[in-house]
Order: sequence, then structure tokens, then C-alpha cells
Amino acid sequence: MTMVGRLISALLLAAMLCSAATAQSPPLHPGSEEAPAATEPSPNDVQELLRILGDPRVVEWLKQQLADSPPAAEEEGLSLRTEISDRLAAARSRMAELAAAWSNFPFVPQVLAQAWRSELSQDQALRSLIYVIVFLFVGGGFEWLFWQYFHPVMMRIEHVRPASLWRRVAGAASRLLLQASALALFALGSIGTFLGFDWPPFLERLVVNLLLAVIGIRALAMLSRFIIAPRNEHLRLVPLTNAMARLVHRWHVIVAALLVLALVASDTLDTLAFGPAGSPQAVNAALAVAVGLGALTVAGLIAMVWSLSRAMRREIAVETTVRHRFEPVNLRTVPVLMSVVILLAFLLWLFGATELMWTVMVLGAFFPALRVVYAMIDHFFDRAEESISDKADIETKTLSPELGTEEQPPGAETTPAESPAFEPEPETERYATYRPLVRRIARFALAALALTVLAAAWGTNIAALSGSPSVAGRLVRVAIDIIAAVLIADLVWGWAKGAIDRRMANYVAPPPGEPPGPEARMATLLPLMRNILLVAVVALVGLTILSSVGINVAPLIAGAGILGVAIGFGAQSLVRDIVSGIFFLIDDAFRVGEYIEIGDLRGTVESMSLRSMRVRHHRGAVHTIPFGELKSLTNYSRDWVIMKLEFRVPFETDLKLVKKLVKQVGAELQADPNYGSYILEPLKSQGVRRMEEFNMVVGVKFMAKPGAQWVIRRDAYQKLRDTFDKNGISFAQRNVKVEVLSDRPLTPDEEKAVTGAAQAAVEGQNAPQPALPDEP
Amino acid sequence: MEKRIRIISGLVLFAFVTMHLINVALGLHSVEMMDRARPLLMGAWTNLAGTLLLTLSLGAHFALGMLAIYRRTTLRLSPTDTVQVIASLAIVPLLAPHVVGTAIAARYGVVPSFASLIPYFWIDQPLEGLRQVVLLAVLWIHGCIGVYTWARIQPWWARAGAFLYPFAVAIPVLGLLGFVEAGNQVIAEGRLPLPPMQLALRFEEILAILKSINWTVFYVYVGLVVLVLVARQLRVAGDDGLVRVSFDGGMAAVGTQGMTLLDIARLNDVPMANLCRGRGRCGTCRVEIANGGMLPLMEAEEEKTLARVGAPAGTRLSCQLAPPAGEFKVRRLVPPFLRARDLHRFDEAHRLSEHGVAEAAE
Repeated sequence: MTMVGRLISALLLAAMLCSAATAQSPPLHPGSEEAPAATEPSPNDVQELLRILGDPRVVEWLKQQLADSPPAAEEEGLSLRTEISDRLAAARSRMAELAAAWSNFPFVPQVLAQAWRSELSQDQALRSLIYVIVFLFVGGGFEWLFWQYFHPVMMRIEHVRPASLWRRVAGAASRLLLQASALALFALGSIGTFLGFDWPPFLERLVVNLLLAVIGIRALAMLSRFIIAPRNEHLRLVPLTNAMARLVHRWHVIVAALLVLALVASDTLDTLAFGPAGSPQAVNAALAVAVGLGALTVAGLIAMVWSLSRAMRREIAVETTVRHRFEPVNLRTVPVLMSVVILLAFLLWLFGATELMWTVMVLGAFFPALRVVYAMIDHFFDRAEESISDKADIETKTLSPELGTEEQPPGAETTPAESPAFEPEPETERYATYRPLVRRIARFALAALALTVLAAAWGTNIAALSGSPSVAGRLVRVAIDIIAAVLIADLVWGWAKGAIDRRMANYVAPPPGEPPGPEARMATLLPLMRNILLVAVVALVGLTILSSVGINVAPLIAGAGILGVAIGFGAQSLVRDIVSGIFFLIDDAFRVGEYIEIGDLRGTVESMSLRSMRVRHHRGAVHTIPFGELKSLTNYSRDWVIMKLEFRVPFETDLKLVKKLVKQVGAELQADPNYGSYILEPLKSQGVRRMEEFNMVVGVKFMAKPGAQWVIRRDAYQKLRDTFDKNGISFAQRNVKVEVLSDRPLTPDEEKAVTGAAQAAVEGQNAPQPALPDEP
Repeated sequence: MEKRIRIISGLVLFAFVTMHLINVALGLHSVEMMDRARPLLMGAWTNLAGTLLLTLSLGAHFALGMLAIYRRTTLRLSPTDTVQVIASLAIVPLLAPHVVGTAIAARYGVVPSFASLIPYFWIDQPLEGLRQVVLLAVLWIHGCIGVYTWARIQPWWARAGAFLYPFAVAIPVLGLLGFVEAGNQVIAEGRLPLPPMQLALRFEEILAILKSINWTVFYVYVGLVVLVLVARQLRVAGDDGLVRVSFDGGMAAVGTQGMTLLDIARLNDVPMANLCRGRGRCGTCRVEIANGGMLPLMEAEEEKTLARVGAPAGTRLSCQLAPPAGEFKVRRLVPPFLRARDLHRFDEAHRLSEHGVAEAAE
């Protein structure tokens, strides 16, 4: 929207002011000369030197040289104070120039006309116009020829509605490529053939400038067309309505034309003023014209900002769909801010403070530009998603008439309506995952661009580590280094965090009682990796910032290395814990939520940290076990478990009936809605496992998923008892038969004694049985 | 017949301009070379028959152009037609001084030659040189559009077209560069000796006569153009009934009575193929009209074109049909973005299918 306008206009202004300013300010880099490598002087040389120094004339000359040399040359770099005073002096001389230009203002046309006439007669001026037309025609012919062959391609790009995001980008980009090639051919045809002939220098400069003006305006208009696409809604990269797009494009062309013409005019006048026909008055006049044209361009820019923001406000009042994109932006304050930035930049340029001008402009343009880029990306993804749903709609539409003709039962009509609704989902989801990433990358690229412009403006070379000459330049360089480091770190961290969080969000914890799947392992590893990455990124950024500030980080790194070794020895077991923990995780020995046994500790894995794991015993106790302590580990939650049960029945029990009943109970258990699905093999009888003195031991077993066996065991016993009861099978009860070898009835005392003896016999047989593993 | 006269006269003029430009292009070598090649290249046009042919062609083309403007149903033209009409209107005022200065000046004994004209255009009267350059650009653009519009629906265009494009650029470009180089030579090295002339009057008097002729031509021309425009305005004055057209594909268009269907479609952004740009030659703008009872009858040209492309009865050419006020349902019979090179294949397939349908019906 207007933001695009402002971005582009800011860039245009930047380009103009930059070239105008660089034309007038000397380069900031002083050439530094390497001292030749010194060798040991011979005794003769020393004698010679002493003799020369003894000469009074030489001494006198040296003194004078010392007095003559400028004080700044004594120091390596400039001090802040001298730098500020230099800048003030430059501003003062600039103001003097401006004042001179202003006082000469009434004579400007006269002076310039005079210089012009002395350089170029009227006939020559007319002829140069002929040249311009001829060479524009030549370039136009080349371009026309190009379009004759590539017009069908262009038509296809413009008229085929792109089906996917990729097609959309490719369409816009290839259109730009075609137009740029055509423009390049135009430039080649016009300027190339012009330069093929020999011309007088000023005429050449003039004609080339005029041709360049045409090409420059066309190039800027092409760029605007690439972004705004006033005629092709589906190639547009910004969320604008057709009317708005046309308005924005028109303003861009106007401002671009103003800008380019201003540039060309000032360059031509400069050539004239500094050429053989020039004079101080001509120089002043050229400066006055340049300032006037600059003011005109700035006025155009501000008019554009206000006109567009007014149109936007009107549009938003009507249309609500566009609003949410720019809602946070207050459309009333933004144009004011933009105007202030533009005016400020213009004033700074006027006073020759190029670096400050650039800083103001870059800072002023960065945030609106960021918003525009975000809006572009969102618009892009929105449209891509729209086109997917459109496609789905079309599929539905094409399917339904076929159904009507085939006369299918009414129930079948629901299926085609549903199926396309499911299909586009993975694609939309893909777009949703890419969107934040693309936004971040765009922000990074934009910030990198802004930093590069700033660095170029301050005359620092980011790539080279050599010190910048001025204090302010050094400060800017340090700031740029730091911001760049933070930006890169932010990009890396944002990407990694986004990727990890996305995977974590996809992970669904299994419902209680169900063993976790393999993705649970990632759920344990990923937060770990995220933390490690965070630490690494923060450390690296910290080091980079320190080094760019000028602190030598080599001792820090070395110290950290030594400290690392020392701590490593001291914290050997800690390191062992961490490393073995990682390997346990890679081995997939256990996951969060599994029931494990380590030595005599057992319980469910609750969480893992870098060093240790937490295991909760089923009675609530929490064990913390460092990974280094793990020698072997038993996992009770993998794949399947077999549960064996046994019970005792009297010798006279019908075993076939028992087998049948067990099978029946097994079937009942499997039909249970709660845990039936967890039974892998149903309950079945294993027959008599062993004979005891008074009964038989019958074994049954089943196979189930881990964790479900306890419930199944409970119900199995219960159901077996009930079924046996119904079928007249009773469980064997421990009884002692006491045979009394006498005929007379026992007295109560004797009976009591016998009972006591039997009791003792029974208890003696009741040996303690091995304990089954406890149930959680 | 009218169409044929227009294209033949146009081609004659185009051929003349082409040969003239080739002659000028020799200026890249030298001015002498231009003059030496002149009898060879221009000789055919400077004799009596050539002059007669040229004059007739120019007159016929001009008259037909005026007639076409008079017949225009709307002045809101397509971009190409706008360029074409503006170029054609600019040609006469740009061309007249050159023709007068060479052809008519010859009557007073001035022998036209490049050796005299090149210094005239570059040193004496740079403004006239500028006029020449602009004239060339305008003339060539007008000619190219006209020839291209005619040629691209010809059967041979699919094969030859791609090879002819470079010539359309090379000839004027070389001509212009020749003009520039010859001018540079004259400026750098001075004038060349002129051929001997026997002037009927003094040179200044001749110039004054030529100037008065130029202005007369200009005023007459402007008057003529204004007359034609006024006449056209009077012709369409009463037509203000609305024509509502609904096209296939759900597109609707509104126009005023008297506009052709093609213009109505174009002004409402309804795409419609028209490879000959509304001249009734190609038949790609043919449509089927559902309620065609009250339409004006077909003229012979339209009937002939429709018969040539094998269109069934009830089909009309939308570039020739100016529907009366009312509502119409129109179906386009040719894909709107048909390319010229596919035209003949399309027509062939169409004829075959029509034929097949007819046979099946029997």
C-alpha cells in the first residue's frame, strides 16, 4: 500500500541524494602506505646519518617541515574532537556555498544559458535532439523485435492464473526477467549504437544523459510494475485493490520521472559548470538548480505520501478485508512521520552530512519497509491458500454434474463434497509452516540490506577488519557488527526453534495406560537440543560482540578451554552422565512414560534432564537416577508381556471342562470394550502344571500390551471364579485329613490336640512362595 | 474492393519507403555512395509511371483513411489503433515539406540529391532534419502496423513471419544510422560539390514559393481532418440507445447504439479474437447471436469472409455488426487468445468438424 510507495520513494530519494552527494564529497579513505621492511643499518650508514644531522641547514629544514606539517598527521586516527570540528567546518563551507548560490539565484538562467551557448550552439542542441530521437528509435526497434518473439510467453504468464505459490512467484519473476531483458536490449540499442560513433565530449554526455534518463525512468517503472502489477491482479505482490494499485503505480512513475530528471539535469549542469565553459558563477548556478530540483523531488515524494495515505484511508473505510493487515499502523501519523523523515534527510543532504542523511533514511525506511514486506509475504501466502481452496471448489463443481447424470443414490453425493475438503489440507499446512520462516528470512535480508547501505554510507568495509579512520565510523562499524551477529543468531535460533517447536507441537502424548510410540524419544531429545543450541548461540554471539567491540577474545577462549579441561576432569562423572544419557536416548532404551527397572529401582520414566532421569515408583516415590549410573536397564513397556496365572483345583475336577471354561472366559475378556484390544493372545489353559499333595495346579496365560496386564489379570481371576462356581467346580481348599486309629470317640481335649497338630502340619507346608513382581 | 485498394496502395507506399530507406542507409558508407545508388534504387519511382503510381496510391490511401475515420463507431480506440490513427494523421504535415522540397522543387530546376539535402538537414536547417527523423519513425510505425495486420492472417505468415521481423527493425535503423553518419561526415568534412542546376527563379524565390505551398497544404489538410471529424460526429449524433450484451462465460457488456459489437466487447474488457483488428478480413471475431432477428443485414464483405471460413448460417462478424439498441446473447465462436499462427489450423479443423456434423445429420 502506501508503505510500498514510501519504501520505494525512500529508496529513490536515497539513490538520488547518494549520487548527488558522492559527486561532491571526497572519498573518506586515506591511502595507507606500508613502511618498507627495515634492515640493520651498516656502521657507514650511521656515520653518514650523523654527518647529515650535524649540518645546520638540514636541522633548520627539518624544523620547518615539522612546523608546516598538519597536526592531524601526527596521530594515526582522528580524534573525536578534530572530527567534529572538521565536520562543522565542512557544514559551514557548505552553507557558504549555498548562500552564494542563493544570492546568485536571479542570475541562474542567464549564467547557465551563457555557459550552454558557449558549449553548444542552437543547431547543435537541435541536432542532439535528433540524435536522441534516432537512438531511442533504434533501441525501441530492438525492443520491439524482442517482443515479437517473446510476446506469446508474456501473454501466457499474464493470462494463466497461477495454481500454486511457486507458480505465482515464478510468474512474477519471469515477467520481470522478460521486461528487464527487453529494457536491456533497448539500452543496448540506444546507448550502445550511440557510443559506436565519435562525438564531441559535452554532446556525448548530454545525449547519453538524456538516453539514460529514459532508461532510468523505464527501469524504475518496471520495478514498480513488478511489485504493484497494476493490470494483473494475480501477479501482484502486495495486497492492493485494482484502483489503488493503479494510483500507486502512477505516483511511482511520477516520482521516478522527477527523480531521474533531477539527477540528469544536475549532472549535465555540473559537467557544464566544471567543464571548459564553466565559471564560479556557473558552479553556483548549477548548485542552485540542483538544490531546487532536489526540493522539487522531495515535494513530489511528500505529495505522494499524503495522496496515497489519504486514498488508503478512504479505501479502508469502505473495505474491511484489507484492514487487518495494516490495522496497527495509524494512518494519520505515518504520513507525518514519513514527511519529517524525508525533510530531515533533505536538510541533512543540503548541509553535506551524507552519513547522517543515510542513517536517517535507512532508519526511517526500515520499519515501513518491514511492514510492507510482511504484508507482501502474508498476501502471497493468503492468495496461495485461496487458490488451493479454489481448486478444491472447482473439483467439487466438476464432480457434481457428473453425479447428476449418473443418477447415483442420494447417499453417495456426500462423498465428493468431503474428499476435496480433506485433500488441500497438507498443502495449507505446509504453507502455514513456511510462513514464519519466510517472514524471518525476509526480515533478515532487509536488515542486511539496511546494514550494507549504512556501512557503505559511513565508508566502512564490513568485510575487511582494518580500522576505519574516524571515531564515528568505528562506532558505526561496531554497531553494524553487533547487529549483524545478533541478526544471524536470530535467524539460526528462530529457524531451529521453529522447527523444534513444530515437531514438539505435532507430538501428542499417549493416553495413560498406552505405551508411548517412537516419537516420544524425539519429545525427550528435542528440548535438550534446543537448550544446547540456545547456549551455543548465545555464547557465540557474546564472543562476536566482545571481539567486535575490540576486546581480544583469544585469551577468553583459551581460558575457557583450560577451564573446560579442568572442569572436565573435576566433573568427570557429570560428563559421563551427559554423554551416556545421550547414548541411552539414541539407543532408544527408554522413553518418557515407560515402566522400567534399574537394579532394584523401578517405576515410570517421568522426565529427563541433561544429566539424570526421574523415575516415579507406582507408589509415588520419585527416584532420580544419573545416566552414568545406568549399567543395565529393564524396560517393561516394550511391545508385549506374558502373564501367567495359576489356581488349584481338587483332583476330581473335570479338566476338559476347565479348559473349555477358560477358553470361554478368554473370549469374554477379548470382547471387553475397555481392554479387549490390548489382548494380543487370549487367555488359554495350559493344563495341569503340577500335582500337589491335595490338589492340582492348573496354569493359564495370556499375552497383552504392556501396562494392560494388571487389569486383565484382575478380571480374568474374577471371571474364572464366577464361571467355575456356576459349573460346579470349586477351588481346592487346603485341608488335613486326620486318621484316628481308635474306635472310641475323642474327648474334646483330644480333639483340640489333634486339631492343633493338624494346624501345625498345614502351616509347615505353607512355605513362603517367591513374590511376583509388584503391580504398579 | 475497398480493402484491396487499401492494402495494395499501402504496400506500394511501403515498398517505396523501404527502398528510399535502403538508399539512405548507404550513408553509413558515404554521401557519394548514397547519390551513386540513387538511380538504381529510386529510378523506378522517379519516372512517369512510378510517379503516377505513387501519387495514385497516396491519394487512394489518404482518401480511404479519411473514410475509415468517418466510419469509426467510437473514438475510444485500442492502443494499436490509436497509434495507427495518430501516426497516419501526423504523416501529412510531416511529409509535405519533404515532398514539396524535392518533387515540386524539381520543377524549378532544383536537382534533388543527397549531397545537397544532407547538409541542408544537418547544417542549414536542423529543425528540418528533426522533422525527417520524426517522419521516418511515424511513417515506419504506421506502415508496419498496417502490413502486419494484413499479413499475419495470410497463410504464408506462419512460415515467413519470424524471418521478416528483423527486417522491420533493420531497415529503419540502418536508414537512421545512415542519416546520422552522413550528417556527421558532412559536419566534419564540409559540403560536397553540388550537381549543376539551371534554376528557373532565384533560389530565395523558390524557397518562398515552396514555403507558401507547404502552408497551403497544411491548412487544407487540417481543414479536411476537422471536416471529417465533424461529419462523423454528425453521423453518430443520434445514437444514444443502450446495447446490452451478455457474452458466454457470464461476462456482460454495455455499449451505445451504433458501436460495433467488437468495440463494445473491447471497451468492457471482454476478450475477443480480432486478428485483422476489425477490418472484416480474418473472421476470428465471428459470433453466434441467440436473438438475431432484428439485426441489420450482412453486407457482401462480411458474407464473403464468413463463407470463406466456413461459418454456419446465423453467424455474424462482430467487427462489422453494429447492433441496434436492445439486449443480446452472444456466444464467441473462436477462442479469444487465438494466435495468428494457429488461425489456419483452427479454421481447417473447424471446417472439417462442420462438415462432419453436416454429414452425420444427413
